[in-house]
Order: sequence, then C-alpha cells, then structure tokens
Amino acid sequence: MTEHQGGSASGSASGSVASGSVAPVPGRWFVVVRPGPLTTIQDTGRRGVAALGVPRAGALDGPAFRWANTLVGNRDGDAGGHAGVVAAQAAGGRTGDSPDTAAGSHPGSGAGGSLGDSPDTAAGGHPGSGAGGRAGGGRTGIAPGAAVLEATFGGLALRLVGGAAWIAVTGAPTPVHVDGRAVAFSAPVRVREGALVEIGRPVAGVRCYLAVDGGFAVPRVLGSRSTDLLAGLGPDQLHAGTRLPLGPPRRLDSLGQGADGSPLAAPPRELLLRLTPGPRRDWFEPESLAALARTPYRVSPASNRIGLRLTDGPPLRRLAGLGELPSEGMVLGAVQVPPDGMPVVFLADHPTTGGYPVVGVVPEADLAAAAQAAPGTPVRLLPTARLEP
Amino acid sequence: MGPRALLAEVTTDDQVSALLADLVLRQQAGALGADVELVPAARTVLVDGLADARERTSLAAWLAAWEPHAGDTGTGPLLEVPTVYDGEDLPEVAALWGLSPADAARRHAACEFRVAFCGFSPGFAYLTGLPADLAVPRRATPRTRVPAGSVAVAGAYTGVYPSPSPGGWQLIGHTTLRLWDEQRTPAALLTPGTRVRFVPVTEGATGR
Repeated sequence: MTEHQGGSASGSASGSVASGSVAPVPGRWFVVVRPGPLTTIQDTGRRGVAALGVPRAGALDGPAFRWANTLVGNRDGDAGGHAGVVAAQAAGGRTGDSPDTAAGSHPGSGAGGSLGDSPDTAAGGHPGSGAGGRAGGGRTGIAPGAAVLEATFGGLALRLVGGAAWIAVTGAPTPVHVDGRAVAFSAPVRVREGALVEIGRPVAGVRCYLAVDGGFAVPRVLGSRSTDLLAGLGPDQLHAGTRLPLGPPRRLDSLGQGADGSPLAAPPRELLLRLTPGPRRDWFEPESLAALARTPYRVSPASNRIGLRLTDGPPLRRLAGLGELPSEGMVLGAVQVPPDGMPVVFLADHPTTGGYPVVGVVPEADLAAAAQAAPGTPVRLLPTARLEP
Repeated sequence: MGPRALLAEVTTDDQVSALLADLVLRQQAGALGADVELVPAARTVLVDGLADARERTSLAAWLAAWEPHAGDTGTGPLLEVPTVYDGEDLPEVAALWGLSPADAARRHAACEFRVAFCGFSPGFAYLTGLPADLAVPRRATPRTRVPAGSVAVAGAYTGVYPSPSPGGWQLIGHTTLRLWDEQRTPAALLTPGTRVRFVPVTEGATGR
C-alpha cells in the first residue's frame, strides 16, 4: 500500500506555509450544529518546541485516536501533525514514513487521493477487518495520524457538506446517529452529503473521537492542528457554526489498513496508574509517601486536558524548610504536588515547566485510561519502586 | 523523571547554559535521538523523549561524569529589543534600586542579558543578566492582564510578555518588536542562548 500523495515536495517546516493549504477546492467540510460541552481538534500534537514553552497537546486517549483513524483509512501523511517541526526519528527501523512527508498533504494536491470517492461501492469487505501491517512501525507513543475531533462528554452534532465521507467514532462508548438512525460505534460508517451526524453522551468514560477519511484540514500551528487550551494555540474549541474543512477523501481500499493497536476494552471502573518514583520524592514526608501508595484517591471534576486532578485521598505533605523549588521541566505523566498536597497527573496540555515538586511519573501507556476516567472514579497510584527514601 | 526522561540538576544558571550547550552538541553528534527534547530551566535541564532504557542508561552515565565548566555565554546571537521605558511599575522598581526612573532605565539597558530558558507561556523567556543586588520581588497582587510586549522584571529575571496574559512581574517598559508569532518561522526570537540588549527608544520609534 503506497501513500496516496505522490512525490511530496521536500517538506516545508513552516506552519504558515501549511496553513495556506486549507480548504480543498472543491472540498468537503463539516458544519458544527451543536458543539457539545468541549470539543477540540486533536492530532499527535507538537514536538520539538517544549524549550520554547509550547506544550505538546494532542489526543489524550492515544489508542482510541489511532483506532479512529485506522477505521477510516487515515495513515501517516494525512491531515495530521508533525509538519516537519521534528526531524525523522534517527534511530530505529522506521523508514519511509518521515513525518516530513506530512507537509505534502496539501489537500487537493494529491491527484490519486481524490479518486475512488464513489460512495456505496464498498460492497462486501467490511472495511474494518483489514488486519493491516502496523503502520506505526511498532512505536509505543502516538503514531503520526490525521486530525480528529476529541469530544469531552459528547453532545456534538455536525452536518456534512460537499461530499460523502467515512466516519468512525471511538473512545468512550457513545450512541451515534446519522440522520436520526443509530449507527455502529467504533466502526467505519458511510455518511452521505448533507447528513446530520449526532454524537450522544458517553454511557461510560469521558472522551470520544470522531475521525473522518482525509482528516480535519484546519491550519497547522507549529507543526500540529491540535487545539491547545492552556497555551491558546491552534484552532479554537468548536462553536455552533464552525466550519471544519476536510482533507482529500481516502480510497476505499485503504479503510481499516495499517491497524497499529486496539483501543481500550472499556473505560476504567477503577483507575490503576503505575508510578515511577522521583525526581522530587525526597521533598515529601515519608509517612505521606507511604499513605500515597496504599490509599485510593478519586478523580476530581476539576480535571481537564492539562491534568487529571486527584481528590478524596491522603494529602502529600512537604518536608519543612525546603523553600520553593525553582521551575523545572515537566513531562507527560508527571505527578505534580501543589501546596494542598493533592496530586495532579499531567496530561497532554501540561505546562512545559513548573515549580511544584514531582513525586513520580505515570508511564504514557497508562494515560489513555486516565483520559477516560470520569469524575469520582477511584484511582490508585502503584509505585514501581519503593517511594520512601 | 519517569522511564523516558532524565532531569539533570546543576547549581547555577551558567552551568545550565553550559550543560545545555554540551547536550546540544551530543545530540548533533547523534548520541541522542533527533527527537529528544532538551528543556532548560532555572537549575535543571530536562532531557525528554529518550527512546529506550539503553539511551537512558548511557545518558545517565554521561551526565554523572559531566564536569561543570564555564559556558560560552558570550557567543549566542545578539538581539536588540527597542524598548520604551515607561512601565507602570518603573517608579517602584527605581525606588527599590535607589535610583530615579530615568537612571533605573539606563541601568537596566546597560546590562547584557541572555535567554536562560522559556516557560509560563509560548515564547516567554527568562532572561538572566541583571545583577543579583537588583533583584526585585513580584507584585503582591498579579495583574489580570498584562499587554503583549511588556518588558518586566521579577527576582533577577527580565522577561517580555509574548502575548497578553495575567502576570505578576513588575512592568518597566514595552516594545513593539514581535518576539513571538506562531505563524512566523522562527516563531520565537528569544530562544535559549540568545543574547539580548534592551535599547532605549522614545514612543513611536519602537517599530521595525
């Protein structure tokens, strides 16, 4: 399976260049009828710019994000992130999918990409059944992927304009309707031009993802189409009337190809987060570290894309006399402890530096479940080594 | 710091600069993956996005053997920032320095600064270069909105607000030079290592 964009010109790293390629003509787009409580555009986020104070952003539930793209046939190079801001990964056997090629995805420029958009010819061949060849190349992080919608608590309605499309909704299990008829969740669904797509409220979990073939082709900012609510970068959250341009349609035969992982089985009833101790565990009283490891917390309703806030558990008390910590770099999954002692697990929109001590770090693999843990869900932190000094 | 990052701690901001420079060289030499992120801060350099345990172990060994040395603080690119010293807090800062507002402006403009690190918001740079005895406290009550381009001091740091935001630093002036523009390449003019001079100008002369 070859990429549908032909010889992408040497990828321009400039976000402003990429932003010139919005709105394919003639094109397809969604118009937002109801935006839901909080719906944003997300892809794999921004890399290589943390030293400028720019957060990573990107989809919080990586497996659900990738699965949605897989179901509609989107792969590396579709309207996704990483327009050459980062260099291709030096090490590792990943060839031929340099993120730089994403800059070649000027919607409308890939002649091959606009072919094959003959709806309703998908007879037979369930599009989601392709076992696929692991387009992600075995990487553990979020693979490059097309921009999708991340809907927090659903509640979204969109009208498709300008052509038919494949969509798939993944993540938190949520009822989906097209023109008032229930359609499958976590499966490719053909939507005709003019149809109304409605996403209800999740029956469990928090965030669902709507992918469309060709991806959402909003302008890139610093290499990514992601909305960053903390830094105020990228597109605004969705509002009624927002027009969302789509990338070139995918060929039917690419649907379901390149599956590189499956989504969570179900949102967690109890959230278990492994915790690698350090670097600042020695800022805390040993007794409260011991309590942290054996007492559950709950997910606070104040949680957001910046962090999963924990509450209803033992406060982590700082040792006296240490003063203030100078600001230091923060990572995804860092468990920062503000003065009230209630841990915050940093998610994708986390600030790049922070001045509260980090007691430990939750591995990225555990954060998809964190993104789907509804307020009130019990949370246990499981230290992978002894926490107390 | 977790399975994919290391946080290296040193004792001075000059050592942060020196360590960062050495890590950049190490990355350019291919000993660190090209997509590893180096994030300097006040007393630390975060190395994030390590590929595997091997890269992490090898870096940890290199860091343990790293000897603090005088960094090349005088060789970064020099950026001149035309500045009107008209900030609302200039009289208060001048009083803390025991100077008139005009002399305080001259004193500040006489320093050569250096971007130590960025944080707080995209493009917000923490500049070192103010002598330690000129350190000033933050405002007791932060402003809910500080205009973009405001030149401000807090502690021994100087900063320029890249975009409108809340802020607790003492405002001493403003510039119309756009230090941050996400649509421009490069988006940030104040990147770690950049040397900076604030050039006093009168109102209307700060444009480029």
